[in-house]
Amino acid sequence: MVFPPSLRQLIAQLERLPTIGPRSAQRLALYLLRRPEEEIERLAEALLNARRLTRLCEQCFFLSEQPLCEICQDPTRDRSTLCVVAEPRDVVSLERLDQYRGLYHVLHGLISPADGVQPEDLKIRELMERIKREPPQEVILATPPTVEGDATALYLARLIKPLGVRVTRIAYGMPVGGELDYADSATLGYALSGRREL
Amino acid sequence: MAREQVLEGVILRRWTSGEADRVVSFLTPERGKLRLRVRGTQKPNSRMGLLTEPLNRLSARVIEGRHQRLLVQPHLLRTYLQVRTDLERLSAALALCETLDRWLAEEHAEPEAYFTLIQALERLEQGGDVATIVGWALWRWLAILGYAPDLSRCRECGHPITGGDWQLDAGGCVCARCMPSRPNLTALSAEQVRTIHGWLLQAQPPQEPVVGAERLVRAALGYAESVVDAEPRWLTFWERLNALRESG
Repeated sequence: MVFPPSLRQLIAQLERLPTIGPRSAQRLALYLLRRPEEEIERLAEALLNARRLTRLCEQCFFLSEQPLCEICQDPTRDRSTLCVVAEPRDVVSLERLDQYRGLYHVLHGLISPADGVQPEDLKIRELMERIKREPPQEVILATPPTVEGDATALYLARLIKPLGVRVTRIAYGMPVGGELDYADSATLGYALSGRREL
Repeated sequence: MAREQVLEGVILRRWTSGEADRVVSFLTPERGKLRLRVRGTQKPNSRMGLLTEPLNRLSARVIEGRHQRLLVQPHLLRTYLQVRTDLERLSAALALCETLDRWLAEEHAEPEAYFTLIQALERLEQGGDVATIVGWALWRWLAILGYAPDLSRCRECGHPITGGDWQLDAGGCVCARCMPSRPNLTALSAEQVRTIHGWLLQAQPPQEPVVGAERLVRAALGYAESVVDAEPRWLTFWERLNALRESG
């Protein structure tokens, strides 16, 4: 490569980021070089600050700068409902909805033995301790409709139900505005099995 | 010039690739196991994600270009909704898919292995005994892939399998008198050895549950370790579930 060593180093570091290939890394590096120095300093500072200050909430394992995240600290939140999600980004998606007012618990993954992820690699033990300590009325399992999401939800339901807590799972099936004609049999099957009374 | 072919098959495993794509292990009767890229599965409006989940049976177009092979236009032929709502069945079904993915070489057609998987998944969906189905499928695959042990007599002393304890290792069947028990091998009764012998030849999954089938699964895994590959990890998880259930 004909680039100077410092630029090559930047490209190599950018390439290590997820979804960034060699071409994208090169494009980003050349873009950054053209920006004013103060802007680059702000970016570097933001990266370092985010890395140094962000940690996991001690209760729900969402991202926070305090021992407890904003959601767990919020006294207006409904403490009788606990929504279990796989990743921190799922909390963001549900919060964007502005319909759910309960608390969360982030597992940081899904059970996937083929990829080396066993139940003990997730925040399941902490979830069970939390439920025993402050039993909610309902636990909503918001894992995705993948085989790993199904396995994780079924595994959690098996652990939580004996504690006398209501366990539900978010519904899957027909998209809003979708037509039955265009739905595949897997989607229709899910929609049919998750039907509800009107 | 890209080569195109419409193939039927089962998704054994899948991995995310890049921002929006997936790579799937697609088992077909005609061409064996293929590693194929599926574009755009992670995009919010894509239907490809649900269709290319493991356990789904699809008909799909496979396009082979110079640099990569793509799976496009998948059409769902069968999905196993009952399996996906039962933890034991789901983990057993995924274990079977993972096992075939590990045991089969790429582009090596084994139609019998494919049809054994389909039949095992169908029996799991119908509510058949999980351990019996898993045990049958594992031993059947070992036979199809040419790894069937000799189960007629002890390979050391020639003693026929009439009674007593037996163990299976890479060399075949050994009676307890010829080989002290080893921790990684499962001790079997003569009756259990005869059940395995039947399964090696049986093209259809057993209709009735076999008592102690979990032991025959363990024996298959112990034996397979010495002839094929390391243990499929979903099977370890499924065995853990069984142990949890037994301990209450």
